[in-house]
Amino acid sequence: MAKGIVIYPDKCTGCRTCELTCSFTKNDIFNPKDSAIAVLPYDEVGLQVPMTCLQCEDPHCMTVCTVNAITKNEKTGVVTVDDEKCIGCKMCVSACPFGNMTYSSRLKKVLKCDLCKGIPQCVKECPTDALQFKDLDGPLHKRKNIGDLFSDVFGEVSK
Amino acid sequence: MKGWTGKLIRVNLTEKTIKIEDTNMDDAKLYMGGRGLGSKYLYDEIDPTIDPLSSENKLIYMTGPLTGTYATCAGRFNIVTKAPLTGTIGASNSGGNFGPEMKFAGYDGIIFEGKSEKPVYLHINNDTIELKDASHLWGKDVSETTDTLLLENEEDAKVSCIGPGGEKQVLFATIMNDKDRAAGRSGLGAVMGSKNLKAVVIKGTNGIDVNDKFKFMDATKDAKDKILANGVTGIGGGLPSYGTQVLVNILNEMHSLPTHNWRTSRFEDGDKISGEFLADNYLIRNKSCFACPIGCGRVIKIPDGKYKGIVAGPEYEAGWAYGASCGVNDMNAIDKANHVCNLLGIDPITMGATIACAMELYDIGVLSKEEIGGEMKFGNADSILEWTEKTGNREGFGDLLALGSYRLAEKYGHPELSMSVKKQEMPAYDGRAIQGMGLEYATSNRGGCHVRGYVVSPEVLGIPHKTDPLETEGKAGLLKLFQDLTALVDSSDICLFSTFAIGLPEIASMLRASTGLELSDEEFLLVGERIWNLEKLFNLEAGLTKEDDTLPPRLLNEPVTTGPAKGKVAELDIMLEEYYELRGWDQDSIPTDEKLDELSLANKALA
Amino acid sequence: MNIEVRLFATFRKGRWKNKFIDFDDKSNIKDILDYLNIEEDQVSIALINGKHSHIVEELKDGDVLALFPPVGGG
Repeated sequence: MAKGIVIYPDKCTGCRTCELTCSFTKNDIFNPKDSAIAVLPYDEVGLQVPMTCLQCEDPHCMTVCTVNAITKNEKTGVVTVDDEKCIGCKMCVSACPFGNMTYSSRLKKVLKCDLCKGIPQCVKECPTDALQFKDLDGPLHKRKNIGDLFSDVFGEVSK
Repeated sequence: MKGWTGKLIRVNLTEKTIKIEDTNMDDAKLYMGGRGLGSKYLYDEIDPTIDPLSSENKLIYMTGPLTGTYATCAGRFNIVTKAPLTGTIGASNSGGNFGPEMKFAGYDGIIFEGKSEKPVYLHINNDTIELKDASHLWGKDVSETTDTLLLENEEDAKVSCIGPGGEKQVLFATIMNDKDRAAGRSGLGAVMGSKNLKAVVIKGTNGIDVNDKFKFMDATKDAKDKILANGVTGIGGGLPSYGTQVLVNILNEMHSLPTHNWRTSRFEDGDKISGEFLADNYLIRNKSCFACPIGCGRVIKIPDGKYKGIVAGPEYEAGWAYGASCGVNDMNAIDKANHVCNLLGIDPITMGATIACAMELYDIGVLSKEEIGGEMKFGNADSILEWTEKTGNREGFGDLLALGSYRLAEKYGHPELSMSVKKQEMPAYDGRAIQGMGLEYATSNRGGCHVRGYVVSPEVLGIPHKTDPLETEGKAGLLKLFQDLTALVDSSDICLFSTFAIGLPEIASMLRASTGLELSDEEFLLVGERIWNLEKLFNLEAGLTKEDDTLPPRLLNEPVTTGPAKGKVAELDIMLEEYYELRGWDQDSIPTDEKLDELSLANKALA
Repeated sequence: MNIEVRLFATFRKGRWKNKFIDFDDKSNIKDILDYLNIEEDQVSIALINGKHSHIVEELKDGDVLALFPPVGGG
């Protein structure tokens, strides 16, 4: 079964350790803008939501890539970009419905989570377990995840 | 050198000029960054005798060599200026995300000079820097200002701004970052307001490089592991579970929680204003500053009234000032008053303590209902909110409260009822029951303040080891060590709270790996001592003397009436004499030439 | 002898805020911790009538014992 990063916004305190860990692991520099994960603040409801690639089953980024630089590993489910093949057209950035793919003009490449060869460093370094690397128990798990988020948001507002 | 970006922005608000200049790296090596380097620039560039609210004053934003990196709790930066509340050097640090963004934009600091004719704000996007009109923002609160600026500029930029408190030059106005993180004490916001500078908006996309990546990651992971394994700062620990307000019950049980403007040292309803009560009734979740694994920030809900919503909760000292100090046992009212301070951009410690002072003046009949146009009774929860709003907006009697408790009490002939040192209000720890804290308040370079040498750690919490809070012996040496180390922490720019779990060796390791400076642990500590002495020189040149290193008469003459410290006063004289000796200062508190030589400092005016 | 025991922070979880409890004369803090099922090394601050006290310190009738796990702030 494929494993993926499961996000628990209710545990996230917004410390952005994941952003720093990613940019340093992948690009040797401390720069949240060169990270494949980003924490989005929703202060009005007191929530911080880390967002990263969801490793889609049918990735739009892969579909639109004209040079076949993006592939999905059938066994692990990981969607990866081959930097050698990538021509930097940024079509994939436009295609991702979640905005989870970004282009770094500094590094001249697209940034996308590849789950660090099966040991995601952001998960490892998250101090509050807001990020967890888990077996994805079918679509129910993800759905529940988003459901939790909504219930959280609406729950707090209506309190 | 790595760690620093090597660039500063210098903005002359009078001339409307913006220049990029190289950071003075000789000074950076001696003072690191943040509080230290900012103070060095201020000391070199202004005459310490100037009026803090005149255009001659400068306002300096400064990061440190760890800001924005993976170092633990490295989200901090300092703002340095001559402080209007105290007339001393004023450095105040803030967490959040603004400091790191300065580094990501490519700058160690920003120096503001002069005074703008009209309200302006500074917008920075990497190399693009411009002064923009802020007329439409003048009068807006911190939340509205921040939201408007993010709409007008990049939505993921970071905002540092003042509220109406700063605009109207409340002498204890704050500069607010990311809405609810404050450069809070000594009135820096009033200086910003006096310059007609409403805000700084910054976005950066550059990375921060360190000198030795492997050593740096080893050092930071070691520090992070220690923080996460620590009983105070770690997972499930006291600080993340209950926030700083967890201290209420400890200090109260010790009869060291100043109550009713320090008349007594125990608050009957302490538990109702405690971290435990906040967690049980108002807490939604924790919030971290940048790169902080602790997450002591409180996200709370205000359940009713015009401030209903999800906001930042009070810190211990703010909760104390409005709570025990004013005799108020209503946490909901305290939360609201604290939130109003964040919106108006004023310091809740000085605000609460000033209201407490007014309450005592009212209680002894010096202030009347007619004179102030309202109630000012100890224990009245409505009063703390009402007078906070009026002070931030300088309405009615609030216009006088805006000067702080010293100037208020002095005007009515009772300066002794201001519980302040160097005109800044002392927070939350009774210096009679915790002797080292008495010395700490008296010698702090920015007046009454707890975070310049937090000896509460050993005296109350037993960190790193327990000392007797009633004992005076050894306190001078302990305090000196804490003051010097804190100056280094504030200049590296990491959070002081990390030092519940890590100490000089861990901080020095991170600094060495980040900067490449091959200094020993002791040499890094000497950086802290150098900063402390530089601040002292500034204050001496500003006209302060040994006479200012004192405590309110209540602490020196009126003994504690209950608890283990019953019968005790602050035994300041004996500790102060030893302190000056250990500092290498004469008994007039003037650093000796030998000490200054040792620290590579020169005494400009007093030579 | 009757002692008022006050618990704070995480010590309250699954317990209570304060209780008056009878202990044998000459009981010390350690004895009371045993009764409460709190490990000695979990205790950071123990106050008898507001005064920092060592774990072997004996209590007397009417004393107030306040117990805290590691906490900090500022």
